[in-house]
Amino acid sequence: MATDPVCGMKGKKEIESEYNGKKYYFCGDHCREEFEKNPVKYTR
Amino acid sequence: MAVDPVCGMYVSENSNIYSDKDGVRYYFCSEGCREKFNSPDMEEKLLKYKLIIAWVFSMPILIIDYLFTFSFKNYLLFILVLPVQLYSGFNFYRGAYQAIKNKMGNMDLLITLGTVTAFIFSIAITFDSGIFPVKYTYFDASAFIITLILTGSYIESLTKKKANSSANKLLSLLPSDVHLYDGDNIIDTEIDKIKINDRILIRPGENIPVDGKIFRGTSEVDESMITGEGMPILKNVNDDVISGTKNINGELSVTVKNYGVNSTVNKIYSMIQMASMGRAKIQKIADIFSSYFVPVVLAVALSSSIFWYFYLRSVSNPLYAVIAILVFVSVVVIACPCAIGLAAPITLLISSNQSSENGILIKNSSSMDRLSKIDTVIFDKTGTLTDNDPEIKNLNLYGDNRYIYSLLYSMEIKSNHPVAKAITGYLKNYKYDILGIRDFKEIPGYGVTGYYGNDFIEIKKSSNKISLMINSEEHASMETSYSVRKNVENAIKRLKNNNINIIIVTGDSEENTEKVADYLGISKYYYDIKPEGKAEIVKNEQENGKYVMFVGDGINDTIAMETADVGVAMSSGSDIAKESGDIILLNNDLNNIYSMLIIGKYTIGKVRQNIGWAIGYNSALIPVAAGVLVPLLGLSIYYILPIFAALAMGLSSTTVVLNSLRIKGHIKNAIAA
Repeated sequence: MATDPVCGMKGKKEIESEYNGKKYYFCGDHCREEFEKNPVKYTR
Repeated sequence: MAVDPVCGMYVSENSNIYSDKDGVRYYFCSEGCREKFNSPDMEEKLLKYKLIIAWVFSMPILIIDYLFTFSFKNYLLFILVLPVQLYSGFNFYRGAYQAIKNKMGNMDLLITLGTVTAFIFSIAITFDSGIFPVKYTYFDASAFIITLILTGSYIESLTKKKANSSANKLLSLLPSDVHLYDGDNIIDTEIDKIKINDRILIRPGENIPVDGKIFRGTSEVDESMITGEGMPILKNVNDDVISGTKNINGELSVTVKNYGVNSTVNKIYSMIQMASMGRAKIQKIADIFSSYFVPVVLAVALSSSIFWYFYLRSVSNPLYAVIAILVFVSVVVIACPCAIGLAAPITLLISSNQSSENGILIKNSSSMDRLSKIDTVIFDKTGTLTDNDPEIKNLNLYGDNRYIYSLLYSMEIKSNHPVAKAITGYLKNYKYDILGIRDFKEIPGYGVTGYYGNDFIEIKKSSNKISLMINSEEHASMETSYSVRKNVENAIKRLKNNNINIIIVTGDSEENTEKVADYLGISKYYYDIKPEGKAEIVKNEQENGKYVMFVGDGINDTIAMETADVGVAMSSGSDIAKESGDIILLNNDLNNIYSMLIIGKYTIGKVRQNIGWAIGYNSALIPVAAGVLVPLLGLSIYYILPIFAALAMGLSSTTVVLNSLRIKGHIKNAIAA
């Protein structure tokens, strides 16, 4: 189960983003946009 | 996947058990949780009745079962257990039914399996003693599973109420009736009958029911319940009032701007409630545990039951079937998914309640684990470290004083800029006339221009110097300076003593910034920075491995606040919902910044402790229920194990809530220090 790094809920396969060679999955577009604004914040 | 806000279980968003509140849809694992959420008081009352019935009938069952022997004993026990089984235990069955229907496991399912198995098993013994080679029944176990777990739920709901006391206090501040203007008459009406732009009267001593603007009257208002700020604030015509605050000593007539769910006090209430919905990163481990919990428990219960069945049969123990059933009952009853589900939400809720009492409104509790790691705090300068409104100093005039004062006043009164307000405020002690200015223009970043007669007038700002030009010739000059707000020195000292890096970032000039930085002993500062630049500075720090909090006010800090690991917005109290940032500081006291860091650490520490405790509880006691202690204590432990399991399960989630309540004291001390 991939967790949405922004909200902590379950991520969906089709909503993804890549950062530093790793794929992240999101519950919705809002969280993906949030993530892409500043990936550092959510990936450490 | 959504999370049940009552018990913390995972719920599918396809579930048809949901409730909409304040524009948010909440999903529940069962009808019982939904009812608890929608009308907690009613639920608590019902729970109390069920609990009383459960105890009234369970106690005689226990006494008769252990102290008396007579021929129709089992039949009497059967009659006594019926009210407990059918009335007090009803909610568990309903929850279990819904769990099966939605193809998920929940606590109700486990309890139902436990109590119903013991009940049916005992009926079989009572009415046909041929099936099992025993004469004693387990009605005591089936009844006490319900009684003890209900007792646990009741204690839990009482302690939860205590956990949410600050939020509940907020809503109780809203009066139910308002004095509405009907023309010049006043009629008393219920608060939900009013509309925006209605005019209402608030008498001295009354709580203010709505957010609004004063159109008549003057009074001191106590806003401490919203902002934590103890001193009453003098309010005049055109000032805003906040719902839930108290009008102290004058009559105020107010135009309604917001009421009901849109009022400030309701929004704060919802934000506190929402805290328990936040998903702190640490919860991931609890989530994984909880999503596999029920199937794993059922598997353990079945496999250990089967093991004892065949093992005891192979050693020719006649009780093989009885023990196998008791093993199953004990395992499903002792397992407690709710302690894990509750571990984080209840802690976040208590933490947010306690913080709000001190003017710290945690809007986004998912940021809690980032908050616990903050090592760098970046402050915006103007409006955060220093007052928003500048002071005017060193006014020099070249020419007719009265004419110059009049021009300055007449031009600046037309502008809303803080500098303009500072100038008109400063001139109150001087004599001036109000002149008719033509073609007034406000040029952002430059100043104001206009004509008086044939004279072209400009008031322009460069760095911190302001000049009045008449036909391009300077006739007055003055300087602006921003004074450091009270408590800031102490707040900065506290952060520094605890090795937090402090940085100032501002759009203001080098000179002004340097002055404030020197005064506060801050060596790292950036000046002349545009809003996007502020966010870049935050990002740079993050890329260097720092966990950054950005403290700011106003629209120009929004991007930086969102970029930071934790964004803190300074607020005047109204328009809370519009504020961006993870945390809103309602009383503008920067001493609370360090308190927040402490709150973050304590909260995450407590969540971790709770999750550890809950996982530990289950991993230690499930094997006990499955029979690992039998080689040590013998099979006779199964006479009491089902009841012990119910007791342990009933107390386990209460323990989590009580343990979480302890952070209240920690937070209080952190703020008082």
